[in-house]
Amino acid sequence: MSPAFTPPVRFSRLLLKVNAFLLVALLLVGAFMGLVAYKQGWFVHQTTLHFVTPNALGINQGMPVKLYGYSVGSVKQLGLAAEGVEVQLAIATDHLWRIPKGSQARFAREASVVGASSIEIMPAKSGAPLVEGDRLAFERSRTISEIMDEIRRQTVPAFNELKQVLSQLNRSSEDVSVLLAALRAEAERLPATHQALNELLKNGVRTTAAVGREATATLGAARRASESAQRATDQIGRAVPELAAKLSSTLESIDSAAGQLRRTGQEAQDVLKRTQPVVERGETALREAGEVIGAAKRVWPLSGSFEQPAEAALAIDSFDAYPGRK
Amino acid sequence: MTHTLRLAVLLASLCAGCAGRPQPAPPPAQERIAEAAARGAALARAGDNAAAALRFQEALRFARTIEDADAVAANAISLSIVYQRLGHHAAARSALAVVLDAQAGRFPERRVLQAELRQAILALAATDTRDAAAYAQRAWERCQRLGCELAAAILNVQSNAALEGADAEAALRLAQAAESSARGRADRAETANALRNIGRARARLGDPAGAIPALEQALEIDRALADPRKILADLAELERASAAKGDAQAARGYSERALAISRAARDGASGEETEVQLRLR
Repeated sequence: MSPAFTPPVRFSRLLLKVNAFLLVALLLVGAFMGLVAYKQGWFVHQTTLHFVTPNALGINQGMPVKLYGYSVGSVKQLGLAAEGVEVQLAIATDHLWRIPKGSQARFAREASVVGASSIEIMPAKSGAPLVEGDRLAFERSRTISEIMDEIRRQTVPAFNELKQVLSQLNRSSEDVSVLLAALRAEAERLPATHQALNELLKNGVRTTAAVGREATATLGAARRASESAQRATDQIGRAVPELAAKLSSTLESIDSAAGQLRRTGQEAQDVLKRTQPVVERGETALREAGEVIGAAKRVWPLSGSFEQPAEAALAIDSFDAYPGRK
Repeated sequence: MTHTLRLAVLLASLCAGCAGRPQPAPPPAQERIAEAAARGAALARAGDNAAAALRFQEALRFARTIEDADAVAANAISLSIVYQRLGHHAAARSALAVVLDAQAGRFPERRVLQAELRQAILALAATDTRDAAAYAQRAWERCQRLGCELAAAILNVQSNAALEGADAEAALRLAQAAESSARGRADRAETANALRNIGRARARLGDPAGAIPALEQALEIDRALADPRKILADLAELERASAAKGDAQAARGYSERALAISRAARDGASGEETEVQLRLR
């Protein structure tokens, strides 16, 4: 027979100590779990709302639900539905009175296109608060590619317009150049025209003098013929100087018109001289603008907006072989 | 305000990060060739073939100065197209001779194939069916080897050649193959050409009622493509098919539409021909 077992003194009340240790550990675990549950909002009464989206890309379980940027709940569950994906939201009941019927939910990112994503509630202006199980309208915010597409859609017509305007300007500058060249040629011919006009005027003066001489001879003959004819001759003698004066004034006005023409020609030449650098500068500016646009067209994101003329050759169309196309 | 500014700076940085250096600009000579050719193509599309021919000639001259074989061939082929549209058939053939008469390997095979197809088209337009079939066959063999994108066009030319050679059954088979190929490549122009050939082949085979749906589909596509020459051709074929079917009223309707288009397009010769046909009815 062996003697009865006697526990060592240092392990006295061991069972009590072990139980106390386990109890403390249990309490600590319980407190930790309670803390986690509190943090997770398990003690907050929540109301479930839902919405349906045709595409739940980017929406995850646990994603925060925000009202005016303040977190009021989270995404509770996602599931397939007839219209797409049904997303259930757990909203703190305390905040539910701020979300009236007619409110909308939308998928958003904190910095518009980058940053953490969340479901944002956009409350309606007035109305009765939502209740358990109510459905929210859902609006999906645009992705960065959609935004870039939108920018492209808006900028491409503007650039096309600009391109068209520039090409028109280019064509107009050709027309203006042709017009100016024609004007210049005409202006260069003006001195010759002026000389020809002067010759004409001199001839006119000579002719007038000859007419005067012949009129005097006629007057002498008429004086010898008869007295009655003398009166008539006198009348002619009075009329001829008047005619000569009128002719002279006409010639003077023609001369002044020619002078005016000459001055206008000189002014036109001055204008041409002044406008030539402007036209040249305009051509340079157009060429440079073309180069800038050409470079811009090769840079992302504009490069995708312009159709690159990869193949400038005409497309071969078998219709050209259709009978009667000869 | 500060937030907006930050956002703007962030977006600008993002864009700056994404934007790289501009792609290198092509050498000036090639840029001139490309610009002249692009202007020519735009003018041809706008119907100004005479001005287009000048641009393509300019592009061809530039390409020759730098011995750019691909550009020489491309612009010679484009020239042949505009010359044909202008009615200068001998000039069109001469333009193609630059590519077709050259030593093997002088031009890229893809361009030789295009030139052969164009030569087949020119031969067919000149009712030289045998020559057309021979060139189309050469183009087809080259295309099979290269896996080219012109299969539908070649099949359509072969179908046209078969129709001209009074082999409507072969024409129908080839046109159906062309339609399938064109639809596979989403090539609407060749799809419409194939449907027109199917309609013509069915009408030749004595099935005008079966021809009409194909021709109407072709007309629908050509209207979407807004090509008056093709719309006119579709209406002419529809008129013939309807008359063969015994539907004189429909035939007259198509004929009147064709006449309206002819008048609008100032296509005098075609308009007069249609007018004479209307008076005879």
